[in-house]
Amino acid sequence: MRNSEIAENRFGYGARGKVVRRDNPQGFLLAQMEGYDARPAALHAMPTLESISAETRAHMAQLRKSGAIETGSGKNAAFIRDKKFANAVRSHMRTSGRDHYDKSVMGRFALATQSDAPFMERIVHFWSNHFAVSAEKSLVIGFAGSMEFEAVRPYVLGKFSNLLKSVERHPAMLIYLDQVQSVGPNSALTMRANPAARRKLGLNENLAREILELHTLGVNGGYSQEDVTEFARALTGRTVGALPRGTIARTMDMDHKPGLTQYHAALHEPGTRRILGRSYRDTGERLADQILDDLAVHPSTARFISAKLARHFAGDDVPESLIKRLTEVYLKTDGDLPSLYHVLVQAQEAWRPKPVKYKQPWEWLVSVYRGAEADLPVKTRQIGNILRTLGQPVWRPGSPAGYGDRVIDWIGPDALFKRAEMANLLTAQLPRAVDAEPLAAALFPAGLSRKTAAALGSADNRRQALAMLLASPEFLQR
Amino acid sequence: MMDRRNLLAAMGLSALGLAAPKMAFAKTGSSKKFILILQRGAADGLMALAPTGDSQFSSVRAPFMRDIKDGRRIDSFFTLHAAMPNIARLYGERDALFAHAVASSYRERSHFDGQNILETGGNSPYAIKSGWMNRLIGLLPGAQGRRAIALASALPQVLRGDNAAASFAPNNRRSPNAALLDRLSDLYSDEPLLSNAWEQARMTQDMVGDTGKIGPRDMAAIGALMAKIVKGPGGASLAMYETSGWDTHAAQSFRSKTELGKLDSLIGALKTGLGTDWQDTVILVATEFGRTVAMNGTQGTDHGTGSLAYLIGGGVRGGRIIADWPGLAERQLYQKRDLMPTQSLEMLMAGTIGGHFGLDSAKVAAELYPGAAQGRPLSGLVA
Repeated sequence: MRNSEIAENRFGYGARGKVVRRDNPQGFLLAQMEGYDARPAALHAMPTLESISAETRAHMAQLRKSGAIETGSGKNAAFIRDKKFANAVRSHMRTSGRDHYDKSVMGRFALATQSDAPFMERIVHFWSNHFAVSAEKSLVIGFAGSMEFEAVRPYVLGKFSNLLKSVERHPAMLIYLDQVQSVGPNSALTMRANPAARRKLGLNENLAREILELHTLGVNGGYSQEDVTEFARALTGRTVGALPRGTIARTMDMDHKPGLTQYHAALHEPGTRRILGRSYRDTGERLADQILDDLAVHPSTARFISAKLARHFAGDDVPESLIKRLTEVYLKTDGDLPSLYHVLVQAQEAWRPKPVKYKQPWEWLVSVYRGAEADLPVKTRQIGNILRTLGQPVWRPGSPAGYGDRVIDWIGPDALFKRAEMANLLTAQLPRAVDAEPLAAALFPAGLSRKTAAALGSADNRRQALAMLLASPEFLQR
Repeated sequence: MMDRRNLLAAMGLSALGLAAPKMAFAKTGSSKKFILILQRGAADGLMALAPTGDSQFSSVRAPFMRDIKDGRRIDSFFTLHAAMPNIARLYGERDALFAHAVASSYRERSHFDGQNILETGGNSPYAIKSGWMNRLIGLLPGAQGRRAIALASALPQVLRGDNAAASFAPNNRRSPNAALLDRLSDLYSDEPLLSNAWEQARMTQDMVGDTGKIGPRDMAAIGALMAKIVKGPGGASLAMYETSGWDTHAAQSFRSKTELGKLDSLIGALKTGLGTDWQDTVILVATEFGRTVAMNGTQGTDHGTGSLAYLIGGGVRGGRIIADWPGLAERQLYQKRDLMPTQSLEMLMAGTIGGHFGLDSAKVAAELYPGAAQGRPLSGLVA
């Protein structure tokens, strides 16, 4: 029974209502890969890049037609009009972005709470956090959901290189890590700009650095400052329609695919690049993907990804033996992700009977709704607000490193206290009253401690008992 | 049930491996308060305190000169950003000191490694598990009676370790009833990790009470809350707060102005809230590293090296700028791009903490910053 429980809790988001005894819990997890749906019905109504772009284009047409942007007169009239227009478009993207965000958060939560393949949902969310973008940057907000639904979900069962190439060209990533405005110092655009304009053009190395440090090689992966700068030069040209400002904006057609990734050759730094000892001929638009392909199969990447994946599922102190096996398989298969999941699920190191992790707020909240088989809240922002209070708002980490994945990141005094407060509030808010004692027995058939069982039995009332269950060591860990 | 405060004291002691004598508060330094404000994201020291007396400055920072011109010339060489009127006033009252061109021992450009070194005091990232502020608790006279608290939800690295430390973030909900809280204390009692965190949280809750809603940008309210936590003989001796928004790769003029303004409001509110305790307080503001001297292509700056640290409070011998100015010509820069660090942030911190709490600064340096390069703690920083 214990392994059935581990399959649900450590590899999934907790059972819905009760843990079912399974003779082959590993097979139960692996079967979820077969039945995985990258674009399930729950996400059909979600904002997509196409819908966001189309809606932005419609808004632009509306702005022009209404004459809301004054043309004025005088020498700088055209300049001022363009600037005002661009600002109005950005402002619209922020406003509509908040709606896209709320909708996407609810879509994500609904899917996770109802999914029959929760292991795969965990995998999706793992990668989404690995390639973190943050709605803290106001223009990212409308794109964050699409980043996970369109750039991550379809690629989690392929090669790492394809997932990597997909996320590094998504507008959310390009906006978040300042790629949109990065220009080669010897690009055609810089060369023809006047001296005053030229001063405002140049490289931005943020995306290049974070790809190397956080997405592929890892900080000790063996790259230098020169590699970062060379990679930043190679990435130039990749930008997002309608978002660049100033001189760049004036060389682009605002109406051409607003909000969509595009390659603008005039921004690209010409010349051969040298990265990690390898030379790259300037292939323009294709250059970035060629470098990403090489980074994806680099031994440092294999090791970095393997360790992170192992730690997420098998605990902070995961035995080195598992990381080593994952790294070997990664290198042998050129980063074939399903092969890694196979190793992970079949690793005895991942099935240690004692809990290995405290649930992060998102994991906990999803498991509460699944465990209690609760209906989704009616208010759109309720889930988002709960997660904000608990310190883990969706797609809004404080840095490009994403949310921390170690026990100590989530078990601070205040964090624990808020979890208990929320457990108490949820007992009143969960749309269906639940009896704590039978539920505890159904969800933790092997793992329920005598202490918790006794405590639930001696509670002052039903509500208190349920709050204690949701805040119990069993419910907080996996 | 054992009284929670005693229980905590007992746990703190066992963690320190000490016997349990009932120690009276040592007189020295017992009323002293130390507040750390971390600027996560690599704050630009050249924007906050501009070396306008450097002949290179106006050309290397030409695009940002508009931001500097309204600032306050605080001596013949440096200009403080206009968004910081409170700090400018405190400098005039000799309650603020700046140390420029400082850096920790870290010389790469990863935020996360840089912050880890800044918070652990190690010489390579993740080499030391505990944070230096946590280890500082153990060095303080009357350690087991001392409180250390982060105004944050999770415990930041700098406060993680064997000594008991609390975290607290504002909350506009009413606490659950005491019966549930007591039952959870009991439920967690076999799990040390949960139990420790839980009892720290309850103690803080008892002390602070319900705060009402405080927005993340409401620095006046956050400063007031922090002052409340620190103030008085029962208040925390050590406190910390994390700020973000300093990673200005783009549109730096606007973002720096916003963040510096928030920092200034926070300092202003702390001064007001602390009242007479201000005299016993030292606030240290520090960041993991600085930013490039030249502007990048997006009206921002990229990751650099040397930056600025602030010492503020009634306990500071302020009205001074400590800098061995390296210059801004290309050959004077670190790797031809960053402000060259000419003094050690660790030695600045060791000297500050040693002086403030009446501890041997060399011992503080050895215990808290074993990874720092050779050097001597600075002296004469605090009263």
